[in-house]
Amino acid sequence: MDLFPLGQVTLWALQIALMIGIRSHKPEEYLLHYCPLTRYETTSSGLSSYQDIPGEACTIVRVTARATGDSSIPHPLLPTAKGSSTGIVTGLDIINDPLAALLFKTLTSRSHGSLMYEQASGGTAVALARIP
Amino acid sequence: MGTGSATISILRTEASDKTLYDLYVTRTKFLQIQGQHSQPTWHLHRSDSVAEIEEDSIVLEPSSLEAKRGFQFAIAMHRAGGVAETDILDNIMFRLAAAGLWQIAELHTLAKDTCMASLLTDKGQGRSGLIRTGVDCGGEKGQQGILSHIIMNHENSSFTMDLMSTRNRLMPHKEDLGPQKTGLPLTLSLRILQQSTQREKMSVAAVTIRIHYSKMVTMLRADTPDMGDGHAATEAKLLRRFRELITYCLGPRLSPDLLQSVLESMDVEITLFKGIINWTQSRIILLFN
Repeated sequence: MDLFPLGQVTLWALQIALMIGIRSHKPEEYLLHYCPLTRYETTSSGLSSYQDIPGEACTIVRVTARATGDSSIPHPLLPTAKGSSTGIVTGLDIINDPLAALLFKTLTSRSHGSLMYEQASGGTAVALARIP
Repeated sequence: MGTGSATISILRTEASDKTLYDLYVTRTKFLQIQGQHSQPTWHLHRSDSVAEIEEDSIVLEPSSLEAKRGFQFAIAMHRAGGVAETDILDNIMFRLAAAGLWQIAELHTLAKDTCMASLLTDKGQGRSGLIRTGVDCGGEKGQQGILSHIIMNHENSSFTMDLMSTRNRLMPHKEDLGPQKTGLPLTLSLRILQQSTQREKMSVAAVTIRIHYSKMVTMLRADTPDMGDGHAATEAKLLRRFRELITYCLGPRLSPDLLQSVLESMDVEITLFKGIINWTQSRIILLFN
């Protein structure tokens, strides 16, 4: 028996995809960015700067989940035939795209600590959400 | 200025063949049209070529630069003669007597918003793999059965054909234009592009990330010089980073046992395009099992 429902695991996958795909220099959004290639260990004191977000190191292709067919993140995370810059999420997307906005909200809803504290300590201010 | 069209008749001599090759492949010559000061534009076919192929697909593509130039030239020749894309495909298919279970479905490029005409340039030539024919399969055995058959029997097979195997039509000429050029040899290799790996399909959830392979290795080695060579070491490094991220994010919210279960369910797979490692085909897949 699975410990977590499919929806829970899919949500975590979507949130991780957003963290990898986001490209924004707005402080609260920048703190979400996670690149498995460059991101200093999240638990270490390694710091980065706003200029470090790699433009093309990683972009999201898709998120899939079993039994739901292709549970994919819709545009703009997914590459599209005519998109100029695909597989990334911008600050504008956080405002305009309902899914991106929801994921952003859940990622930053950490119940302890504060955004400013996290920013000052150099960590990422994120918490993967749990489905109640 | 203005638009219009012209029908071009080409007597295919060795000399005219070379001129066409220089015009459309090496681009060392330019068309000169009396009364027109700008170069005519070429549009070989659709301008909305799909840039990404996210489904498993079978393609026939030239496997070397020389083969690609030959393919481009063949397309240019057909289009110069006003031959439709479907007729080019039928011509290729007709030459592939061994392939009974699948059909050549389309000409396509992997370049975004790129008309195939732009691939007939110096820059386009250097971009290996940007011009292909897509293969469609289906039938009584079902797509999966045919895919298995093709993988077993035809993957990486090379097909050599001559798209213009008949001799030039004899036409009366007032002057000797030189030796006639015949034939349009073409070699295409069959590849299976499986964008979804078996592990990805079997996982509970997966995040597929496009990467630049060589950049990935360089970046990972930057802070882990002793990372080791090969896929296993790279995947292990990435898995460790993802597990640290999950621990950081979920640690405050999950019991140690549940957190450990999540961590143990995770895995990382790196996929590379068979042959050339490039930006569009190399991927990291984070798996939840």
